[in-house]
Amino acid sequence: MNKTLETRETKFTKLIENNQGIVHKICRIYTDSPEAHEDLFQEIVLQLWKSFDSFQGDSKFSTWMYRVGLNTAITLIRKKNRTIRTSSIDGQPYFDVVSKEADETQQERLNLLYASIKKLNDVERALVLLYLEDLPYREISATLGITEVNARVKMNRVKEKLRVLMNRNS
Amino acid sequence: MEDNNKDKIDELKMLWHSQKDYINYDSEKIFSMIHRKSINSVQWLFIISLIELLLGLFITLWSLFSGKHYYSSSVMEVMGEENIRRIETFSNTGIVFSFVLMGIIYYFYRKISTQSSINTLINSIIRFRKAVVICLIAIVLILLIFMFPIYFEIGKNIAIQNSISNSATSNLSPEELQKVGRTAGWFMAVISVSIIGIFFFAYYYLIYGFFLRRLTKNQRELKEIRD
Repeated sequence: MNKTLETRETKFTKLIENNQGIVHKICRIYTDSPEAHEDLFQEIVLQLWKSFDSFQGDSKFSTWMYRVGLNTAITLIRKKNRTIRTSSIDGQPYFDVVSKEADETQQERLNLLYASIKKLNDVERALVLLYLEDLPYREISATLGITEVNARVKMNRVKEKLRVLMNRNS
Repeated sequence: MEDNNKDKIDELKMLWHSQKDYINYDSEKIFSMIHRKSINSVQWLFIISLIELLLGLFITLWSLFSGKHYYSSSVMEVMGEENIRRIETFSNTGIVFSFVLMGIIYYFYRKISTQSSINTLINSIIRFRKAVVICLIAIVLILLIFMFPIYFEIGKNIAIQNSISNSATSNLSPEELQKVGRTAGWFMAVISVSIIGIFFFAYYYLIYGFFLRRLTKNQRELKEIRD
C-alpha cells in the first residue's frame, strides 16, 4: 500500500516538475508578488494532487493542469491586496522568464505583455493564457464552460483590448 | 488592417513562447507541497457554514437540557411557563433542522469539483453558499416570528411587575396595568426582533460578500460572454 502511494507521489511529482511552466504562467498572470506566486503555486499543486486519482488520462496532462490551475486561481484563492505595484514586480529578477540570450527589448516586451494581461479581468486573463498557449478553441471553450463561438467572439474583443493596453503602456 | 493585427498577435505568441527560464522548483520542493496543509476559500465557506450550524445546535441543546434549570425563578416568572414550553418545542425542531441542513450543505459541497469548467465550478460554489444562506435565512425568519410573542410577553411581564413594585404606579387599575404592559411588550418585541434581524443581515452580508464578491463578478462576466 505504502509502496503504491510512494509510486503515485513520485509519478505525480515528476509530472509536475516537468510541466511546472504551465503553473508558473498561471501564477504570474494572477498574482502580484513572489509570495502570492508561491502561495498560488502550492495551492494549485495541492488541488492537482487531490484530484490526481480522477485524472483519467483521456485528456492530456497539460490540458488537465490548465483547467485545475485556472479554477484554483479564479475561484479557490482570494486575491491578496498587496501594496507592491504590478509594474515594479514584473521587472524583478524573480520573474525573469526570458531566455538569457534574448535581448533586453524582448524582455521589456514580455514584461509589458504581462502587465497588460494583468489589466484584464479574471476570465479574460484565462482566455488570453489559453490562446497564447495555442490551445484549440474546443479546449478553451470546454475549460471556460462557454461555447466555441462565444470563445472566438470574446477572444477577438480581448485581442483588441490587449493591443490597446499594450500601446497605452508602452 | 486585419493582417496587421494578425501579425501583431502572432508576434505576441512568439514572444510568449520565447519564455524559457522559469523559476524551477525541484521535485523535493514539489513533494513537500503535496504534504502541506492549506485551507482554500471554498473550504473556509464549508467550515463557516458548519460552525454556524454547530453553534446553533449547541445553543438549542443547551437551552433544552440546561436552560430550564439555568433560569432563576425570577426569570422563569418573567418569561412564563408557556414561553418556556414554546422554547423547548422550538429547540427540538431546531435540532432536527440542523442535521437536515448539515446534510444539504455536505451534498452541495461534494458537488464542487476543480475538474469541472470554470463556469460550472463558479456556479456550483455559488449554489452551495446560496443553499446555506437560504436555509439559514429561513431559520432566522422562523426564529424572529417565533420569538416575537415571547419578547412581547417578557416585556409585558417586566412592565407590569415594575409598575406594581413602583409606589408611583402601584395604584393603577388592572386594565391600566394591562395597557402599560401591552405597550412595553410591543416595544420590547419590536426592538429585540429588529436587533436580531439587523445582526443576522449584517453578518451574512459581510460573510457572503467577503467570499463571493470575486466569484459573482466572474459569473457575471461569463454570462455576458454567453449572452
